[in-house]
This record gives sequence, C-alpha cells and structure tokens, in this order.
Amino acid sequence: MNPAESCTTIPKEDPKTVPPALSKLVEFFGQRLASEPFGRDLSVSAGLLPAGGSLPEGAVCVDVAEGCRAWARLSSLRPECWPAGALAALARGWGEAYASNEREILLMEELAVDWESLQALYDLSADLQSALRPQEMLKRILGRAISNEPALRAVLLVVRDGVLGPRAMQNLDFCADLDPAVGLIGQCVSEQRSLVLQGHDQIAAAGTPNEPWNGSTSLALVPITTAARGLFGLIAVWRYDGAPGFNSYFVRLLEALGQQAALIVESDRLNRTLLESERLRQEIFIGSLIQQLLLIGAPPAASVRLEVANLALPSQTVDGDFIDMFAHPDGTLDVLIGDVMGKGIPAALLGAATKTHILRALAEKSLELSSGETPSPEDIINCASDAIGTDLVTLERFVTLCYARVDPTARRLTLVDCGHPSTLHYCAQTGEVVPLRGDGLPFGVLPGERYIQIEAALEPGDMLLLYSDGVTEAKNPQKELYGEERLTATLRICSHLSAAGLLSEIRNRVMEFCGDEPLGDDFTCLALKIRPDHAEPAGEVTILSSYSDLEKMRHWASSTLEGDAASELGDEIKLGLTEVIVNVIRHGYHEEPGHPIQIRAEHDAKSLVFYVEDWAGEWAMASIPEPIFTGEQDGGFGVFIVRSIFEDVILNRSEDGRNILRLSKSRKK
Amino acid sequence: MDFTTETVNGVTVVTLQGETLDASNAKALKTDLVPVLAPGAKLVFDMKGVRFVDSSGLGALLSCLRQVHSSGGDLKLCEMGKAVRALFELVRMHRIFEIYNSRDEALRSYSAGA
Repeated sequence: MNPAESCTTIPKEDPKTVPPALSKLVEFFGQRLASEPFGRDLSVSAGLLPAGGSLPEGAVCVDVAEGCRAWARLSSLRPECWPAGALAALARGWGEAYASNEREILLMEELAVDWESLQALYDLSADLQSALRPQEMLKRILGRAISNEPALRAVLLVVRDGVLGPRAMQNLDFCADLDPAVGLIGQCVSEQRSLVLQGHDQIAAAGTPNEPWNGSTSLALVPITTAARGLFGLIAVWRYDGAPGFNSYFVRLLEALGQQAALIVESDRLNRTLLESERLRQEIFIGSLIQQLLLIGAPPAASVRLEVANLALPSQTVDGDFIDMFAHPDGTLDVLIGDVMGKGIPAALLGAATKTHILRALAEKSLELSSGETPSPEDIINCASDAIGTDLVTLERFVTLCYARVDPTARRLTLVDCGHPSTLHYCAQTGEVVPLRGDGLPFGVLPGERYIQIEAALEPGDMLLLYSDGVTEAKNPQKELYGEERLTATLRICSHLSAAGLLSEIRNRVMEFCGDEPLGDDFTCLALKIRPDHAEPAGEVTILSSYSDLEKMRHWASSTLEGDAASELGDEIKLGLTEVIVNVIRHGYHEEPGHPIQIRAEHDAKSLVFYVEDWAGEWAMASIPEPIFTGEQDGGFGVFIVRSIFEDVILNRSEDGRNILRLSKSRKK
Repeated sequence: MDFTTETVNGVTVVTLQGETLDASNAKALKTDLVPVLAPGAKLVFDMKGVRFVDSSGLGALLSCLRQVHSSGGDLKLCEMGKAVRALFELVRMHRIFEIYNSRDEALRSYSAGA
C-alpha cells in the first residue's frame, strides 16, 4: 500500500493548481503514515490556509513556503482508539517534524558547497529511517559533528525542567546540569545565535568554570530551537589543542545536525507518550476488571415499585470504590456505596474486605433476630465497624461509606452515613433536592465509633443519588471541581428520567465538563427511583410476570386501540401481545412471579406500535422452527402467531440490561 | 375455567363457561376435563361464551382431541366466536378440528356418521 496515494487526500481542487509546497506536506505526512505501525488506522487531509482563514478543528498549521501556510489534519478509521486530542497531538508532532525537515533541506541547499557535510547529512537522514535507538542516533549525530576526530569534544545539551542537561556526548564524560542563563550558554541562548570562539583566554573570560568546555582553545556553540517548543537545546564542539578554529560552514552543519537531534528527541517523546497511553489503557482495563468482579455489585432485577441503576468508571489507577445491593423478599432494597482512602490494589482489596464484613454483619444480625425480622442499618454498620474498624485504624486506612435501606411500600428511607458524601434526595412533590448527611466518622478513624441512622420519607417519583467523591471532584482543564452544586442541578433537571437515564446523563455532563482532563478518581454512582404507582400514563402499563395479569394487559391494549378495539385488527393485537407476554413469563422469567413487564403503545396514523420491556436478563423469543400443523403437538404456535400478526418484531437490549421488543403492525387491512 | 356437561343421544356436550381460555387457565382446564375424556367418548365442545383463546388454550384443546382420538372417540367444536375462529385459521387448526356453526349441526354430524 502506498499511503501517499491511498491514505492522503488532496483538497478537491484541480490537482494541477495544487502548489508544490502543499504536495510536499501531504507527501511528508504520507511517508510518516507508511512508516508507523498504526498508519493504516489513520488518514490525512490537508489544504492551504487562505489569509484570515480559520484553521479546521484539530488541524495543525505549517509554513510550507515563504508566505504560504498549509494545514494538515489526521483522522482515524477507529475513532474509539484515537480520540480527537491524541490525533491533534500526533498531527502537531508531525507538523513540527515537517517544519524541522524543511529547515534541514534549506540548510542542506546552503551547504551544497561542502560535499563532505552534505554526505554526512544524507547518511544521517538514512539513519533516521532506520530503527536505531534514539540514544544511538544522537551519539551518531555528534560523531558526525566531530568527524570522529579524537581531538574534538562534542555534547548535546537538552532543556528539561528549566535546566540544560547532557543528552549525548563524544570523547567526553560529563553529567552536570547547566543554567541556561549564565556564561557562554546564557549568551548563546539570549542572543539566539551560534557562537564561534577562538583562543583560551576569550573562552575563559566569557564562560564559567563548570561549563564542560572550560579550558578549551576553540569552541562552536549552536542553539537548537523548534517552532513549537522554542529553545530545545544546544550543540557544542570544542578542542584543547590550539588547532585552527571552526568556520561558518561547520556552524551551519552543526545547526542542521541540531535540527535532526531535535527531531529524534521529539519523535522519541511522542512515541513514549503513545506507549504510555497504551500502558495506561491496559492498567485501566485491569482496574476495571477488578472493580467489576470484586467491588461493584450488580443491581437486582427492577421491581414494580423501585428502579435501581449503578455506574462505575474506574480512573487511571485502581481505586477502592465499591457498591453492593441486597434485595429483601418484601421488595425492600439495601444499598451500600463506599470509598477506600488511597489507591492501588491494596485499596481495592480493602474495599472488598469491607464489603464482605458488612455482608457478614447483615447475616450475623439476621441470625440473632427471630425469623422474618430484618436488622436495622445502624445495627449492621455498628457490627461491621466493630469487626473491621480497629484493623483499619492499625493499617492507618479509612473507608467512607453509606448504607441506605429503601422500603418502597412504606415509602421510607433509612440511612447510615459514615463520612461519605451526602446522599442527594430529589423530592418529586416539591421539585427540590435535599442533601442527606449524618455525622458519623469514616470507618477506621476512631475505634468504637457508634453510628446512628437517619430517616426520610419517600414519595412516588422521588430519586436518590449516592456517589463517591470521584464524581464531585472531577476536574476540568482549569482545575475547577464539578462539585455537589452542579450534581444537584443535574439531578433536578433529569428527575423525569429513569434511574439508568439519570446516570447516563450525569456521565455525559461530567465528561463534557472535564473535557480532555482525565478522571483522577473512580467515578461511582448509584441511583434509585421510586416508581409512581397507579399513575401509569395512558400509553403504558406495567404488569407482573404471572398469567393472571394477561387479562389486565389485554384490557389496557384495547384502551389504546380506541375504535379498532372491537375489530379484527383489535383481536389480532390482543392475541399477538398475549403470545409475547406468555413467552416473556415462560422463557424470560421462567414462570417466577413478581417481575415487572412494561408495555408501551406508540401508535401513529399508519401503524400500531408496541414496546414490551422486561428485566429478565439475556434471552430472546426462540427462533423455533415452523410449528407442526397436523395436530400432533400442543405447543410451538406462540412465536409463529406473533410473527404472523406483527409485520416487524425487533428485539433490542438497553444499556441497563432491559430487553425491549418492538412490535408493529400497519393499520390497513 | 368452569364448564357444564350434558348428554344428548350419547354425545357429551361440554359448554365452556368463561370468556377467556389462555395461559392463565389452560392447564387447569386440561386437568378438569380428564373425567370427561373417557375412552370412546363422543364430545362436542360448545364455545359460545368464549371470546378469547391463545396458543396455550388451543394447546389444551388439541391435547383433548388427541386423547379422545387415541381411544376411538371424537371431539367436535361448535359456536366459535370470530376472534377464536381467526386463531384456528391462523395456525390451520380448522383443518384438524371439526368445527360446526351450531350445537345442533355438531350433534347431527354424530348421528349422520353413526
């Protein structure tokens, strides 16, 4: 594959009018694509930048000739692997490399009088294409600078953290950092030009004793600057033997070599950044595995009265955020969210240990009570705190957590707060968000701490949001925190959504706020919504997974059909929906009663459309073969009937694990 | 689903009482009908009051039909509503069951055949 042809696009002008300078840019990017292992994922577009024109998004601007500016931009065939920021950074790097290459070509043209130097540059250009390690290449560049003459010394100094450090050297052993503001270096840097000095006295007078060339008799000092980073470093070559000094051609050669050195170091840095991001991706992957397997409990199937959803996004380092949920047989749900102070695998393990202790406390306390009674949240937490608190104090670790019990029948919330961020309670009646907060200390702060539960009344439509501080402490590039106030506002605005919908909206809003800033902390939250009861909208009905609810469903379906209810069409719809629901109950919920099935009607003038949603996990209406029509078999007609009645039967799975079956039938006969 | 039975000229007429025969009551009906499905029984199911049958209800009827056939008896249906008839036609069971418009026609078919 020749990437210059297949991957690059030249603007849709007449190719004959494309300036050669722009073609060169496109060709340069094409070569880079070809030489990079990931090149086949990327493509380049480029064009000229008209005077006063604005740069396309994510593009870099490069001077391609006197007064002629071009832009180039990378795009990815796999955008999930190449976020816009990474592509822009890569394009910037290549843009710099291009600019530096152009300067080098200019220098080589000037140097054409000196064949030997030209040869050196050609050889080095060939080296650059080879797979030498950067350190080897830099040493080779310096070797060229001194033509491997033993009397000459050479050093490449590179700016890092405000000082100049030796990056490569020849015939020399030197390791000190140098101040770019003093001595000959200071002079060279401030004047931004090469210096050639002759004679021991002159060098000693202008220099400082700690400069490596102190005591030399001839010195050439060449600053290296790049368009993007300003001063990059210096190349110095000197000798002690009093032999004749360096001429201006030699200085030009050093300038060219300096540009190449900058190119090598920058491309090495860019590669390292890429490798680093790959390593981080791996770490995040492992971290998220640990989180999903050990720390984040799966939400129980939704009940008729309560919706639950959780969201856990691991940060770049493994954190100890954890979530757990226990469903009681009467529909009450206990939820637990916690955050271990500290990072890494120890924090993750401590998170898992805390979860286990709380589960054990729940079991122990339940055994102490007579059957049917449930231990209170404060009993569970005090028992767990007694078991693990002292160990945490010894380990000098602490854990913040919140244990909440939601009873959707009694409409009551009981909550124990152990130093965790406030639980946000959206009250549907007032439209306000109330932060719920106890005054308990985190586990591990004070041995023997007694925790007291707080209570709040819940109403249909109310929502509860529990989260870790990773959510409110997410930062934007200006280092501002997302904060509880923004989160509260998001909850208020999104209170009409489902629990899962709220979390996905929170995720979107926080990500938008953060921009390119990575998450510093695990992002964990859990949402609960008390379903409005009996106030079902006309176009929607929720039934339970038992056959006795079929009649209720048919009654509802008739109400959505209005004039068509008593017609043949209405009969067919009722039959088709019955077969679907029977399938959900039989094959989805395995005839286990009490699970919700939601049916929604979205009819329009042309067709009748129903959505049937269940929370039965992964299952699909069997694609069983054609039924036997000879009467030898009792069953097998259900799916056939559904497919005969509805023109379209489409199954989707939502992100929060619902199965959504879309059924449609046109109104015309 | 409840039902009543009466015998007319050696034919047992089973009148199904209830508008719906679906997954919620098909199994129970099948069990309840066992005593009626005696070997060699001549049966007519009067479906007059039944307004809705689903595939589970149909399955129960088919099961009865097979059982009666295997013991040399017969089962005929009559007075079937529009929606129920549509289901039978959809899954082609109108070709398996003998279906008569009225109870008399169904009874007559037994005497004509006898």
